[in-house]
Amino acid sequence: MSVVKVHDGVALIEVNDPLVLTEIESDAALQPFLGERLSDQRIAVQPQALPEVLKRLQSLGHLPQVLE
Amino acid sequence: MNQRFSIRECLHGYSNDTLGAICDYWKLAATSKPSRLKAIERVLGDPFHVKSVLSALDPVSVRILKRTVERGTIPAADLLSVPGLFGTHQPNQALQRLAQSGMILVCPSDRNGVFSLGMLSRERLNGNRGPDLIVPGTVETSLPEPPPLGLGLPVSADPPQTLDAPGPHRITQTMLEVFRLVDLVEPRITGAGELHRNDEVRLNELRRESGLSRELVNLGVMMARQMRCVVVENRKLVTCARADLWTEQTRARRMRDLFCAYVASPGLADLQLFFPDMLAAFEEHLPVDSVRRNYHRELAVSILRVSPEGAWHPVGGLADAIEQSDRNVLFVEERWRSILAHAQDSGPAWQERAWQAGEKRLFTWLVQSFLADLGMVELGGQGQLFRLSPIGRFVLGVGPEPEDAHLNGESSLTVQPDFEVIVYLDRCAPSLQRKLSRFCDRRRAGAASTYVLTEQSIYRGAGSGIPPREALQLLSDSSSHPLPDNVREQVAAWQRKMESITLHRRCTLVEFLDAAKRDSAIASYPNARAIGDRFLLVTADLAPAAAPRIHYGAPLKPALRQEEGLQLRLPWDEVDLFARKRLAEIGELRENDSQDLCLRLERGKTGRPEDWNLIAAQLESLTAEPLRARYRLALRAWSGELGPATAGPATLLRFNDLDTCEAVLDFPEVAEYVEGRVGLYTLLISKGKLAHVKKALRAHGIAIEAGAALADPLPPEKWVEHWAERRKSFDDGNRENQTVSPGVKTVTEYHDALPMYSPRIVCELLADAIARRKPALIEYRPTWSKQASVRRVDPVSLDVSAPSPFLSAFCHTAHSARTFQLARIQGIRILEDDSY
Repeated sequence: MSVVKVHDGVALIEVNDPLVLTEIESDAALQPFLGERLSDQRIAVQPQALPEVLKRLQSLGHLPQVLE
Repeated sequence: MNQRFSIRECLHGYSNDTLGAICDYWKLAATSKPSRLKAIERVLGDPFHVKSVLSALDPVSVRILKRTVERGTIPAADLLSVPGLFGTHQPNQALQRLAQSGMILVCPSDRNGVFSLGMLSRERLNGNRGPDLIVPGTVETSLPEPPPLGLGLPVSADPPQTLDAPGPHRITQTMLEVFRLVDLVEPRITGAGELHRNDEVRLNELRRESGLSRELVNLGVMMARQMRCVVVENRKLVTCARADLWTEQTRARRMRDLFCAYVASPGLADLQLFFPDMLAAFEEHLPVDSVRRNYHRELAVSILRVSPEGAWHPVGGLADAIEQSDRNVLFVEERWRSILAHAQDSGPAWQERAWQAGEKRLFTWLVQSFLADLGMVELGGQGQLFRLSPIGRFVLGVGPEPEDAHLNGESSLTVQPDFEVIVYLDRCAPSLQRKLSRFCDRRRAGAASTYVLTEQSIYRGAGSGIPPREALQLLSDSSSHPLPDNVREQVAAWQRKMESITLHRRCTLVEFLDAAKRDSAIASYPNARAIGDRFLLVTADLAPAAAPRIHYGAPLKPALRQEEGLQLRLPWDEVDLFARKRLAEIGELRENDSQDLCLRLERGKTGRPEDWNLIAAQLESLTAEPLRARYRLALRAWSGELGPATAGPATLLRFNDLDTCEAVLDFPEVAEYVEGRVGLYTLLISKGKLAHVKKALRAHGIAIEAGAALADPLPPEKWVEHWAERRKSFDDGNRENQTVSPGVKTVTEYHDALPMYSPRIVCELLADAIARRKPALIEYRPTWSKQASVRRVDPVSLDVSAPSPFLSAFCHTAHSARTFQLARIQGIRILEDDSY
C-alpha cells in the first residue's frame, strides 16, 4: 500500500480569515460544490463548478480573485 | 506549393491527347501515355526548363500563377471569375496556355473522367466549379513578381489649393468602442452562428448610447474578427490579447491591420450598406473562401496601388477604373441581379443605372468615408478629389512607414475625489483608452470622456489582467495632477478585499497517510506549501510520478468496493477530496487500520427509508461494479415497500437450446399461452393450457416429453451475459450498420487526401502497379458501409470482365487476401518507393 497519493487538477478556495471559510461552508448554494476542508483556511472545490462558485461568492459580496 | 499531389499523380488524370499537347509544347518526342508522362514529369521537375518558360510568360499568366500560388489550390471557375485581377477580360485563354505548358496542373480530385484542355474554357465550366488547379513546386520557386495592373486612376488636371480638414480618427474610436461593447456584453453565439437575440438587443442599446450606427459596428466587428482581436470562445464573442496589441501599435500599423482585415474578411458588411436587399443573393453567389468573395475589394486595392505619389484623382475615378476593368465585379451583368431588382429590362441602360445606384456609391463611400477615416487618403476640392496619404501608401505596400505623432499619455486625464476620471481624447493614446475601458465604467463619451472608478470596475479590471495596483499606477502616470488620497486609499481597500478570497483553478496536492510522513518528506519538495496536517501544495512537475493519482479534470471514476454483508469500502489510494462527503450522506462512515473508508448500511442509519431508490442510485454511481441486489433489497425492505413473495405449482416447458426457445415465442398460437420465461431455455405455460401448446408445437414438428431437469444449464448470473452476447452476434450480422474494423484508418484520419480518378484511370494505375509490383494506398468504401477507409494493399490481379470489375489484392489491414470493386475505390496513391 502506498503512503502518498496525488490529487491532480483540483480547485481550492483559500481565505485569509478562517471565519469566512466557515461562512462559505455553511452556504447551501455552495455546499454541493465543496469537498474536504484541508485546513482552517483552505477547502477543496470541484474544478468544473468554479464558474458557479465564483458567481455565488460575488453575489455574497465577495471579490474573489482567480489564480491559475 | 501544394504538396498534396505530385506532378505524376496530377498527370495521370489527363487524357492522352492533353498529354500530347503538352509534349508538343515542350517539343518532346513521346508517343505512348507512359512515355509522355515520364517525359513531362522530367521537364516540369527541372528548374532550368521551367525558368525558361516563365521568363517568356505574359503579365496576365504571371498574375494567374501568383494568385494560384497564394491560394494553394483554386477551382478553375473561381480563378476565371476574377478577370479584373489579371488585367484582362479573357483569362481563360491564358489559363489554357498555362495548362498546356504544365505551369499549372489539374488536381486529381474528382472521378468524372479524364481532363482535357477544353474543360478550362468558360463555356464548358458554365456555372460549375471546374477542376482544382495547383502550381508545381519548381514553378512556384522560380515565379517572378507580377507587374502592376496596367489600369490607373484618372488624374485630376486641377489639383486643389488646400486640403479639406481631416476628420477625427473615427475608425480607431469605433474599434475601441467595439472592443468595449464586446467586453461588456460578451454576446453569445447560437448554433446557427448568429448573435443571441437578447445579447443583440443589449448590444444595440449600448451602441445607440455610444452614438454609433449599426452598420459601422457591423463593419468594426467584421474587421475585429478578421484581425483575431475578437474571437469566439466557449460560444461567446470575446476580445483577446491581440486587441490590446493592436492598440499599442503606431497609427500607420493599426490602419494597415484594419485595411488588410477589411480586404481579406469573408464578411459582407460593406455590401450590406449599399445592397441590403441583395445580401442573401450575394452570400449565395460569393462562396466563402473563394477569390470572388473579396474581388471588389482586391480590385480596388490593385487600382489604388498604381496611383502615382502626390497625384490627385476624382473621387469617382476609382469606380470608373473598376468599371473599365470589370464591370461585372458585383454581377451587374448577371440576369439574377436584374430579376432581384424587379427590372423590366436588363439591357445596358438598366445596367448603367444599377451601376450608378450601387457600385458607384459603394466605391465612392470606400474613398470618401472608409479610406479617409483610416487616414489612407487626403481629400480636397470639398471632398471631390483625393490622393493617397503617406499612411495610404504604406498600407498599400508602396511607401515607407510614416513617423507617428507620439502620444505618451501624460496629462491626458484627471482623477477627481468623487472617483470620476476625465479623459481628454486628443491627448490619450488608444492603448490607454483600451486599458481605461477595462477597469473604469464609462459614463459619458466625447472629446472629454468621463469614466468612473467603482469597486466592480476595479474588480473587472483585475479579472482582465490589470490588478488594482497597476490601475492606480496607470492613472497616476497619465494624470495631470496627483491622485486624490481618498481614491488611493479606497482602491487599496478594494485590493485587500480581493485578496481575502483566492480561487486556485488547478492545483496539485500530494496527500500523505499522516502528518509525520508529510513532515519528513517536505524537504524533498522544493517550494511546496504545507496545507493542513497531511497535504502539500506542489507544482505539477514535482508530484511523484509513481504514486496513485486522482485526476479531477475528468469525471471521477467510481471506486467503491462491495464487501461482505452490507458493507462497502473505498481504498485510501482512491479516496478523492469529495468522497468522504458523498459517502457520509448515505450512511455511517469509519476508517479502518489502512485508512480505507468503510460504509455500512444499517437499518435506521441510512438516510430516510422512503428515499431508498435515491440512496440505491447514489450507491450505484459510486461502486466500481454493478450494485449487488442485496444492497437494494435491504434498502427496499427497510422502507417497507417490499411485498410478500408468492408460491404455487406451475407448468414449465424447457427447450434444448436458446434459438428454439426464442423461435417458439414467434408462433402466435404458442405465445398466447406463455405467461413468462424462466431463464434462457424455459417458458412458463398458463395453467391448464399445456395440451394446446403441445398440439401447436407438434404441428411445427416439435415433440414434448415429460422430464425432471427443467433448470437452465447456466447459473442465473450468467443469463444476462449470455443473452447479451447472442444479441451482439446477431447485430454483428447486420453488416449495414457495421463500423470500420479497428486498425483501419478512416479517411478523415489521413491529412492528405488521396488522388481521385475515374475507374478507367484507376484500372490503368493498378495494372501498372501489378506489373511493377508496387503497393498502393486506396480509399475504399465497402458495399456494407457508408464510411470510406484508407488501406494499404498489394495488388495481385484485375478482373475487368466481371459485371463489376474488381481488384484482387493482399490487404495489410485485414492481413488477408481481399477483393475490391474498382467503382468503390475513391482515391488511390501508388507507393513508388516501396515494392512487394
